[in-house]
Amino acid sequence: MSTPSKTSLLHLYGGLLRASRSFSSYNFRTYFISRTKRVWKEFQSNPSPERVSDFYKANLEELDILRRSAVVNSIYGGRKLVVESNQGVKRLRSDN
Amino acid sequence: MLRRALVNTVRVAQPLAVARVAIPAFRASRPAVPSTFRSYSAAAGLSREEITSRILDTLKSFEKVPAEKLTTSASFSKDLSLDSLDAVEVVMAVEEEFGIEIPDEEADSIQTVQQAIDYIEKTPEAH
Repeated sequence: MSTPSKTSLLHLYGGLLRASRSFSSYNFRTYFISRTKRVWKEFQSNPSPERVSDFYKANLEELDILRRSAVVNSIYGGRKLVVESNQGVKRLRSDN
Repeated sequence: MLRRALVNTVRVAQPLAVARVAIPAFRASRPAVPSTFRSYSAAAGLSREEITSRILDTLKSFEKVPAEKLTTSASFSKDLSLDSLDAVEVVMAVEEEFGIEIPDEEADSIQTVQQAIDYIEKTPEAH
């Protein structure tokens, strides 16, 4: 497998963040967002050219897993927590 | 008692009936008046000032962004010294703020605050 380009790595990073964001449970959502950021920042601070394609492949699989889990989680998401109860209404439309 | 009530009803009903018949003719002769009701299905459209302030607020919530360097013309990498991963995170935060999903190709081209504002302005789904 050839080395993935910088653009495709960044697209994968964006896809992972989007998939993490789509969890309906607050705990899963915040955990996967911070986990994705932590793992990628670690890799960025210690880049090794020979590991890039392995990293890319592992994260591609992770993206699939996250997407599937997010769908399942949206079915069994449960109620909103107290900490997120006000998040949806912080800003209303400009004309009301 | 009943008879008086009946008479009253007839007296009132008579002019009313005449008026009802007269209404269509009256309306037709009247000039068009601007409508006073509001159409709730109309698109809301964000103003440029609002987009700018919301994007700047979103960027302020990033720890790495230096507040004194934050202007609309600032470039993510040069002026705000964000790396490529941070730039992706900024685009994600903008997506979340405006409730849209920016395609990867478009997201790549957003490298300055101004480009983000322009993209939101030409995206009708943003709210």
